[in-house]
Amino acid sequence: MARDLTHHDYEQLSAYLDGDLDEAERLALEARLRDEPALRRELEALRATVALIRGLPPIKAPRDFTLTAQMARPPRLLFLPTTAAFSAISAAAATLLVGLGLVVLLSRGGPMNAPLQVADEPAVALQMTMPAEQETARQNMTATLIAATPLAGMALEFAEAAASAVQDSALQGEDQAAPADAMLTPAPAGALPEVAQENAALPTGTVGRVVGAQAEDLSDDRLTGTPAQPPAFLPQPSAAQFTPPPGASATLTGTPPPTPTLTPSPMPTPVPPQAAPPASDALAVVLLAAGGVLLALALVTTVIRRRS
Amino acid sequence: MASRLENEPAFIQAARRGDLEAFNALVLHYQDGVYALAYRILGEPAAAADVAQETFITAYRHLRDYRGGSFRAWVFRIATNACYDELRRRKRRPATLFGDMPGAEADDGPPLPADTPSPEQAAQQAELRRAIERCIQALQADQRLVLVLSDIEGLSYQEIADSAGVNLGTVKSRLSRARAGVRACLQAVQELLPAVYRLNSERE
Repeated sequence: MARDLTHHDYEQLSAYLDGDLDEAERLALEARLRDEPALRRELEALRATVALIRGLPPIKAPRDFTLTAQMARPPRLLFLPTTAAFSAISAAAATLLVGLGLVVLLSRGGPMNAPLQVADEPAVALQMTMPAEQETARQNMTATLIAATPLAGMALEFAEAAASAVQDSALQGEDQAAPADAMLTPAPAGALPEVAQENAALPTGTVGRVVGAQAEDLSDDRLTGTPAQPPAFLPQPSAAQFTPPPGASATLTGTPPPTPTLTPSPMPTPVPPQAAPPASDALAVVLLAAGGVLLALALVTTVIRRRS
Repeated sequence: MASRLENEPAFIQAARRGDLEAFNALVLHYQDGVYALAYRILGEPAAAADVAQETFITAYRHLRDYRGGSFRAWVFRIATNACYDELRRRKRRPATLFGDMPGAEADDGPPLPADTPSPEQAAQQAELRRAIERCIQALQADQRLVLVLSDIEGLSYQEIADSAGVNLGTVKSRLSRARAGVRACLQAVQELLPAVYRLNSERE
């Protein structure tokens, strides 16, 4: 159609139709319109086009979109995928990683002489028929280990930091910054243990609200101050003490850590404690930390899902 | 559509305090515009209704993020984002939604058209309307959005910039390209169109 018109010309014509050119531009364009029939025709064509579009019959909503009280319920705060699948996979992966981390720790000689017990596990896990006592024994061991090992403490601190970083970045993704007063108020020193306890009591239902409402404060606090109470969060990653929400519970307690693939080679030959290479410590830390992060993710997403 | 809601700030204030009734008054005021926007962008009634509902739920939950200015532009921005989400979803699984794509259907015009003229003209006008709608649907999503916000919803450039999350220069540029695109598209089907549409600029 208008072979010789540029995009700039069209922009000028379009803005002219909307009365959006400033005085100088308008006068310049009107001068050109007098001299250039092609430009003039194009203006009229555009004018007719806009009139046709504006003349389309108005569309009405087919129904009312007013909100019911249920729709109006509380906001989502995080951009995590809060599907059941995500929580379940995170929890399963967390169990796997923590299990592997423990195996690595135990294989260098832990506080109990557990190697034999763990060595039994692969076979049992394969058959998926682990007896209940053995399962709880393993979990207790898990808990004790986490509580007892300074490495685990470090791992948890790391997990906490990572989890809060995740939350924080998720919150920043949330359009503009949330009101500054909410974000900046420093929490009293006691706040963290409180939250942790509420986390542990998760299934009671009130927690969802509390955690959600405090998510901003929580993530902020963890980043800016009061990092000194990692033990307060111990119940969270330990499978034994923490009672998981229904969605995740099957994965958390039902599936034993799929250790068989990795355990066979180190397990049969019990290594004397002193012979353990330092690399295994680092490996255990990494595994436990990653497990902690995933478990936190599973927890948070479950809470959010239950709320919405 | 462009009419103002009496006492809008008061409704917004009340809604912010959790007054659902007040918020629903805002919903009733803006729902036609939001639905029309979604319908024009998505070209399909069911998806448009979903987006409209989702828009108001999101708006209610994020009311405290509204920082003054045009409330309509703020709501339309939420609707715009929801539309883009829907378009992205379609791109990810195009096969399932291909039948719903705009332009394909001939009889699925917008619900409740307004005027009802004489018999013969009515057919012509319906054909013209469908041609225009097809041409709008044929635009790129970014251009279509700006065109719809401007020439169907009647937003100002600034409101469009706020709604679409782009600057004024981009608004003007996209709008002019969109209008030129529709103009070229209509030119191509001119034989179908009645004399109302005189765009035969080429041969004068």
